[in-house]
Amino acid sequence: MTETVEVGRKEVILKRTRWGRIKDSLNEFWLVFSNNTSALVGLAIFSVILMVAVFAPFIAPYDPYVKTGMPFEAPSDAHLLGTNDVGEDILSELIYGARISLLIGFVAAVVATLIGGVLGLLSGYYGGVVDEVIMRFTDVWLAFPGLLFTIFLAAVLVRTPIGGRIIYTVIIAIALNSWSGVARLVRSVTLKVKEMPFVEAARAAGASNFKIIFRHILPNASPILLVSVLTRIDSAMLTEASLSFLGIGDPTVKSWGMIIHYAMIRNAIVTGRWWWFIPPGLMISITVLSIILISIGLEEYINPRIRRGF
Amino acid sequence: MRRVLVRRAITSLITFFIAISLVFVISRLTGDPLSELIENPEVAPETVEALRRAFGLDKPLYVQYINFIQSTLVGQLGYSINYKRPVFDVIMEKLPYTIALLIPAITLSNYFAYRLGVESGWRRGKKFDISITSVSLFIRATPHFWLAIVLLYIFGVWLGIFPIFGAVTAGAEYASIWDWLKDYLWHYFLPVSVIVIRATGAMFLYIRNSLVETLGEDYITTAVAKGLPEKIVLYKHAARNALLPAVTVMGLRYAFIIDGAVLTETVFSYPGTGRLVYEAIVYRDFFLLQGAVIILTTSVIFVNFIIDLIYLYLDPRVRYR
Amino acid sequence: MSRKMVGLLIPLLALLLIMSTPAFLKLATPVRAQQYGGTLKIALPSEPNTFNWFAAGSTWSLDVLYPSYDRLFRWKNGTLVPELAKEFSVSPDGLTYTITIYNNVTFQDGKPLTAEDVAFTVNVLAQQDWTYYHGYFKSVDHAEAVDTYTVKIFMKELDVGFQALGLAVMNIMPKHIWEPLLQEHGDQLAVYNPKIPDEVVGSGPFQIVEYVPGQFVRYKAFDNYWMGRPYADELIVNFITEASTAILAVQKGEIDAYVGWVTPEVVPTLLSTEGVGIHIYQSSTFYHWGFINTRWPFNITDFRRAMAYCVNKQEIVDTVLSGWGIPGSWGVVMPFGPNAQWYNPNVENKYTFNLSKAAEILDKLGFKDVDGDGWREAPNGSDFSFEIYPPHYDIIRIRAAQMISDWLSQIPGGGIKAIVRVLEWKTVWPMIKKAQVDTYLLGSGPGNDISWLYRRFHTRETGGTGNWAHYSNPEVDNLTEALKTTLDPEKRKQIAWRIQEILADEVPIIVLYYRKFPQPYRIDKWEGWYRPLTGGIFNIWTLREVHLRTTAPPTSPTPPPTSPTPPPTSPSPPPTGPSPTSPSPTQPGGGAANTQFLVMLAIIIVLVIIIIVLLVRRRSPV
Repeated sequence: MTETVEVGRKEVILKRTRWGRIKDSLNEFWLVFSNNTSALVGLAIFSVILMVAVFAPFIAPYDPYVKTGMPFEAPSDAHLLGTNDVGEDILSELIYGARISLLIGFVAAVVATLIGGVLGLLSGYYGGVVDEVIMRFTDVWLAFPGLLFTIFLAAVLVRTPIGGRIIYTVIIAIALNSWSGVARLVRSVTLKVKEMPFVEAARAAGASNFKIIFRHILPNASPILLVSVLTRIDSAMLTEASLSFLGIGDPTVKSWGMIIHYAMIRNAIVTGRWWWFIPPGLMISITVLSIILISIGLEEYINPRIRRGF
Repeated sequence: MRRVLVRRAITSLITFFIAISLVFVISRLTGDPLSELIENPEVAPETVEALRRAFGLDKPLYVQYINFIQSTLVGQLGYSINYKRPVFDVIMEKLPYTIALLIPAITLSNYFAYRLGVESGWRRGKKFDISITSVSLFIRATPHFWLAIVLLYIFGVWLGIFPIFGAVTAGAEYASIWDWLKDYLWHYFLPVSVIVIRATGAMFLYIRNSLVETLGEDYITTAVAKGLPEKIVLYKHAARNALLPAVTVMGLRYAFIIDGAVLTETVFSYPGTGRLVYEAIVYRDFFLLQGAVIILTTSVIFVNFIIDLIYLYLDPRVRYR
Repeated sequence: MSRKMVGLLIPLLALLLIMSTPAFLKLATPVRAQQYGGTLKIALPSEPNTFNWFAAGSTWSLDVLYPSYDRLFRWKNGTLVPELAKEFSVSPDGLTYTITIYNNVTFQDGKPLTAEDVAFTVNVLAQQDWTYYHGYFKSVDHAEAVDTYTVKIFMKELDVGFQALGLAVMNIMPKHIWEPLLQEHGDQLAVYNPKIPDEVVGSGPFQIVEYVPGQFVRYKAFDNYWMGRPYADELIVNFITEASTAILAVQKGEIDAYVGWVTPEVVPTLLSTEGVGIHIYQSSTFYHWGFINTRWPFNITDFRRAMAYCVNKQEIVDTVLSGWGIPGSWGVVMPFGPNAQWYNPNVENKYTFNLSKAAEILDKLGFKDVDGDGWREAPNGSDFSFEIYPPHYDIIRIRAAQMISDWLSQIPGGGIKAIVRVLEWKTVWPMIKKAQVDTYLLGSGPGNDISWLYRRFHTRETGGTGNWAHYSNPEVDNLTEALKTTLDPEKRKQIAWRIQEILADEVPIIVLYYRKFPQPYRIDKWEGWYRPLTGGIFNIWTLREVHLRTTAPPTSPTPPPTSPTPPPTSPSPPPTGPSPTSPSPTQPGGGAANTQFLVMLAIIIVLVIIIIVLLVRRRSPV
């Protein structure tokens, strides 16, 4: 079953023009994707959140950077989720926070995928010493896991030119921490694609390495890259929230994690102001959940063997 | 087989050296661990210089590096700049808590993830599968610390049935070891639950999908066609193979325990190495950081070795080669 | 010059001694009417790094060792009081200190505390340059025990602050334990951690008996404490990382007091909790908006004045501090505590919040909005903005910086763009020293004698040593120098007043507020807490005096010692908020909060269920 699908796609790739190719795979993708309820639910939730993020200025009742009430107001008609420690509307903060949190997640994920993608392609395509060096490095990188390594990277980055704002260092640190998985995935795809007849054919026709990588291997690796961007958005958002909680985040940026951080520092839990720290946590959960659901649908498209699994 | 092991040993050694050298270099890029003292008006410049000498930070970098490698080879981890005592002592004070917290937590979560994943994958598409999967997805999507805070608030503050900080009741006198154990477990419950819930949620899906993939293989169809009982097909054939790719991930979690559970430790004021390493980074305590990384890489290498052995057991292809 | 300084020193010391004697005698022969017993539980935000007092650097290490040791002198609520020192004299040239100590003091291991121990401690601090307090003992040549209870300290050079700084922070360490250790380890004593309980031995009211890393230190009362055994049988110092958790623990009664930093919004909640009292103390740290006075445009005095008109200190206090603070004085010197005697009230209303006045000055300086984008440009027409650096760990200062930036943007006729930039403080510090940033928000501690102004504003102290603002004014230089040499109190006051006038006029820095720190503690279980106006509740007097409550606990919590300003009087009404009738910002009661929390929880559960149902109802797989 696996074979037939791949063969079918190969033929498609060889025959059609580039646009046709893209249209075709999009069609196939939608066929698989729309058959998956959870992915659709995820997509629906995510679209709503994306809408909220894009149209934040129209949806938010106030400007979250302006004092619009007394500090520490409880929820009321004027402020549905109350106000924060300087009298800014928490609901508006949440709505604008969607922008910032998604942006942080997205940028970090893209950077991570770029780094991982490039290293994976190089290592898979050239093999030999290049492969050995990159993979050793990836191994070492994988040996420093998790949150603490991200914090460590952020501490290093502070002293580089991007250290001008904490948020940049946080984003890059998150990206630097999570590229290694992408590199391995892309490498394995590259290894597989490299052996395929059409690559051989292209090489025989005298195509340069550069051209082969970008024209033939990259399109085949792109679904993996897409999924890895998506799955890294959610982990990046969670990491950013955790960093904010530990006090490593950027206090001038109103991300959801930072709203929780402010709530914690101003003892919302002691004073019982649940409307300050529960909603942002829920927003993170829901957004990340929707992304996970989407990426499950995507994975099914890429890996047909688990199709109809969920 | 032996050649595989020798090769493995060599790459491990190289990885080890790259790792500790990397940490040596990178940590020195993060700034001056004594800068806090320089800013402190109570501290004389002479004192700062004396401390710099005492920790060997006044020497050129390459000398520091040679010293570091030398002392690592003889098993010396140096002195912590922040704690002003041997790194080994500082880590060993906290490591037991972390081990006691994380080894059971990881084992439990691995077990839960395995059982739930296999059962869920077997009944894929059924209500059981979907409800378990949704809950696990929700857990995976929830920030770790936030979950901990909510649990702390519900069980510690609002219901008041669990303590809100510490690993034992401070200063309590125990009549017997059982009393101590009771007290310990009472404090242990919330932090360990948070880690188990979280880790199970993350691991579950991996195993489930792996199983679903395995179930599509021909030999499973053959086994079912042969008329073997479901349980046997599931656990003897499918689950074993489904576990193969998961073993590395499951195993490596044991290696990473020095990384600790910094968020859980912070929320519950629970002692452990996570917070220790975190503060080492924040205070730029190079030597403590290096010590932690040495322990980390050593345990990664050790666990990798164990994982290889497990593969040997699980995967007949490796065994008979 | 040195003669003058000695002349100043001796009357001051004499005065101090006389003033404090009655109080001291009362302490020395206390009437022990209360009952012994109980375990006092205190929480700190962090664990100690080492139990070696010579090397201990962090505040928390020093706090943990605090109950175990005694000192010769101690600062009590703004005055220096003798403790172990029975008699004290200084030679006329100020180079020899003679101290007689009490003869009934013993260490916790039973050995008597003698002049040998005092001399040993002084010598270690003076000779071992790795010791934390070495800086205070740099000018000491050596100390020697003249007889069993008299010690003489010989100075290399005159050091006016030696007694107030050095002797007041010096814990007396037992020679019989530390001398062998010093011989054995030498310089490496800097990284030696003494063993508990055998080597961590002092003469203080509580002895450390157990340390559980990351969790707590357990002390037991020292029966032979020379001032009489403390009432509490045991003292336990817990370490709780999160302030919220610690406050909850006090509310639940799991600990008796928390001595970390608490933000003020919890005060109403705590006051409404039965059995919890709040100690509120006035910190003398002055949190200020500092300008690097050598950088353009902050080298223009008028520009700084314009900035002064843009700061609404009362609003910052009301909003960010919930009213728990005092707006900063324009003359930097604070109107309370030891410095109150030098405070110049005339500069109080030097500038009032007035944006149009700021606009006037800026217009005159040429900072005008020429391209009509709503922001003022520099006189040469180029875009103008500057940065405010608050430290990343202090949310209060970050908020204050944001408010300032907000006001600057509202200046009529075009705002000034001030960007709040938060960086890890470790990277900002060197930049301040090298004058690479524009402005910063810093908290600095004053000294107990007005001569501290020298350190903050004298040209010689520019950059690294204390004059972070890089301020330089010959007149201030002269005046601050004069403060160090003038004896006549009246004249010193005049000088101090003059300095404050200049500072208020030239605004090298703008002091925003002096914070009040709340500390929650249990009043239903313990009484006898000593609550200094300017210090925390975890102090030696509390440790000596606190005892299990014998009288009925007060029904309503005791009011804080310093009458706190009531909640924000009248912050500006919300500009766009539609309902002024919205509920007053009262605390949600504990019960109400819980129901709401329950509702929220129910919503979460329902959400999860909905998602599950949605997924279950999907088309069954083919």
